[in-house]
Amino acid sequence: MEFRQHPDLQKYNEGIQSDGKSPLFPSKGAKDGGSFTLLYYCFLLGVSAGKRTDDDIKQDQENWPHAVKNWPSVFSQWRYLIINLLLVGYATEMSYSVEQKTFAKLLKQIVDKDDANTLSEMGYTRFNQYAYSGFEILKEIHPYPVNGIDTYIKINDKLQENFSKAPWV
Amino acid sequence: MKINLIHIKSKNLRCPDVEINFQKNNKTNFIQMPNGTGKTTLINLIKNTLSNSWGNINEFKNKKTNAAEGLFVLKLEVDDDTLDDITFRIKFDFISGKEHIFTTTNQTSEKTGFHPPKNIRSFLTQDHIKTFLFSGDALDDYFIDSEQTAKKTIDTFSGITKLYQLTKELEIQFRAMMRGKIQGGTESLRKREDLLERREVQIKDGLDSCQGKLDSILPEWSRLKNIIDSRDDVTEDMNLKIDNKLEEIDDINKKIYANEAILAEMSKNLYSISTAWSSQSKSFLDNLAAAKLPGTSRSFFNDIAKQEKCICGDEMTKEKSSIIIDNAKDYLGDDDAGIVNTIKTTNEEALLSSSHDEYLNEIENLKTIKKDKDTLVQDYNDLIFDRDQNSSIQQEIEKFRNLNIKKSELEKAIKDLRKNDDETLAIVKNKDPINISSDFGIKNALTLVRDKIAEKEGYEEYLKKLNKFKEILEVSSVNARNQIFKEITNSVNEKISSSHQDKSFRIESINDSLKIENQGGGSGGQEVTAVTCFALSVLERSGIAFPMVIDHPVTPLQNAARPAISEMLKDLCEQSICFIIDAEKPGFVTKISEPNNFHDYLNDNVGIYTIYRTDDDVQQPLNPPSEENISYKGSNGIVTEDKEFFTNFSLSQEN
Repeated sequence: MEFRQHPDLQKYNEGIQSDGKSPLFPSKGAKDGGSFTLLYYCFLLGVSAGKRTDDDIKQDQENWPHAVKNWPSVFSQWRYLIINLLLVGYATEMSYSVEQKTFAKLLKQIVDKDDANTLSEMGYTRFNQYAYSGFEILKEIHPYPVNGIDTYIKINDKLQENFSKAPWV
Repeated sequence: MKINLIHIKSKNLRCPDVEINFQKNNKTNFIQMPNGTGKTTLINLIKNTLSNSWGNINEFKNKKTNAAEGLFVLKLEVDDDTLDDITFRIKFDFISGKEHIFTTTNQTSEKTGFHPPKNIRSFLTQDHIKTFLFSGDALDDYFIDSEQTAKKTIDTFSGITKLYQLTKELEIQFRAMMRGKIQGGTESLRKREDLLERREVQIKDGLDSCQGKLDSILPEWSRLKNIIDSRDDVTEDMNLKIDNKLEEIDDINKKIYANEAILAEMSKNLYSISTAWSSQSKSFLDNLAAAKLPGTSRSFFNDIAKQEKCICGDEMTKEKSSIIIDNAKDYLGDDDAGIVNTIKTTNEEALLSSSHDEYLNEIENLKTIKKDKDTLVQDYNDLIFDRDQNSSIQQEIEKFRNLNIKKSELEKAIKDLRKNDDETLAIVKNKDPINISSDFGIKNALTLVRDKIAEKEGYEEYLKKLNKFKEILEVSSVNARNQIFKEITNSVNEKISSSHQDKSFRIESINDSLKIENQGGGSGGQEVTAVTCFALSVLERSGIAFPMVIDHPVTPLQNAARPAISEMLKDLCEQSICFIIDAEKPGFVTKISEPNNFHDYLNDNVGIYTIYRTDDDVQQPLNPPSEENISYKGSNGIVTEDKEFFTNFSLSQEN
């Protein structure tokens, strides 16, 4: 498995960069996260809204464009925050209480300690699904990106709005 | 092998009814036919009969009589160790629109169909025949590289064309043969390949269209850019103001960049973005701690399973031990502890180092700086507007801006059509062709589907061998063709020097076209000479002497240049048949200074024929040939071999 993105994400990222370089949205292939950074913001939008695509997951995702194979190095130390978010999200969805037996089950569903990115198949799938839905949200709130600042401000406003609602508060 | 045309006969066709018996010892033959007599029809009848290629036969129908049937007969004499006569009889049925061909040879009685003997069969194709049956006023193609007429002729006669055709047939046969061995059909793959190929054409058309549009605007864009770059209508003060504004924008961009960099880093710590999420995560981590997780329960249960007695005091049976070990898998073990501890500590540290307030501050900073930048950009735009609105080149500036936008759009479209980085092999694998947008993507998809077809049809290895064979054939053909080019060039030049007075006239090279030395092309006379010598050399190399049938051999030539052509034909051709009009006689057949006398070299072994119509609505010669001088008299045409009549037959008598 690998990180995959919405088919329109790359074009959207190019739109953001048409006004010049932006550290908030590195260009594709850049060392500072490349287009994964936008994928990450989309993931946050998807998670915060509690939305993820839920179709024929495997087949669908194979048709989505490849994003990155591994966590970009700038995300290396932060990946455990994302994994934690996936764990909490899954536990909430499955109504798991945190105790020995259910936590072991939860961990196995999301984490694969032998995987280069420490994610199980479901871990990747859920990340990609949240990011896909998050991108749909982004397109809705800011369809025509022309620079990084305006795009990020829109993303942040939406994140603040989502995190101020249930189930977060 | 020598082939002579010895007889032609036409009846009830668009050309007049004629019958001509060419004498074997007449190496040169002139057939004079006024314009409108049906010369083209007669030539096409010869051409189509020899190549057995008939399209719509209505072009041969006599529209005046509306005859339901027509006839054309052509007889060849083939001298190939033994003499053989071959007669082709074509019966035209204009009601059904079909022609019926009959062949007779010395050895065989008349048979239905086109059955030339094996030794000449391979030469009787359209491509071969156009080499020795051509029109002197349409030779340009031989001198234009892109037409590749010389190359095609050599390929035809050397067998290279045949080899390529055979290779194609081989490939078709090969695919058909292998298809029979397929396990499971490949129809859907073939269908996809077909759709992808169509999409490939669409993308290529799109590329060509965009490139064409871009090419059409670039000259104007460059012209306008030069005007704007060299403008001198802007005051220094204005330039200074603009430069200062640009500097301010540059400065604020640096500030924005620095601010964005801080935010980019902060946004990776999720807990800075949301306090709500921080609380939830903290609660989750606290629950883990309360449950003493990760813990190592699996090891504990595994240890118990190894004891003689269970923790409850009962005997530890094998069955019980196995159940405990099996259920222990549902608990965390030593190997899970590492990863859970990393998740816990990283998140705890991130929670401690996060600052939502700072994050929000940076967001507010960003908003403020962005606002300042917008103001600066507006100021800059106002300055540009002031600078340009009253400029003497204001129209050019406006036009340039519009063109520049168009140019950028087209460049982007071309770039996108050429390559979309996302359309990798993995992505286009199952993608609907219509949704593939770049040439890169289509090529990837085609590679995949063709590999699959090859694999499925099991002929991948064979296909590689076939492709190798084709590659070898290509290289060999190129080498052989280059060698033939050289040999034919020498042969053509030998023929030219033996028949042409102008010793500086030579062929420099032959490849795609004929190249006359020191010239882009040749004079009309040189072109006729060069093409005739080329055709003769090609035929000679093939070991076959066909009659040269030339329509309008000297129409474009001045009278002074004509004798060289007729002399050359007399010297070099085993048999030549020239279809001429009255105006071509001076210099070509008769002496320039004595229009009633033939050239001396044409006094012997020359066939002279005049054909004219005798229909009521056609002007007749003032002095028709006497009955004894008429070789053939048909219902609507006369053929005479009377030399005097031939000489005196003037243009004024033609329709």
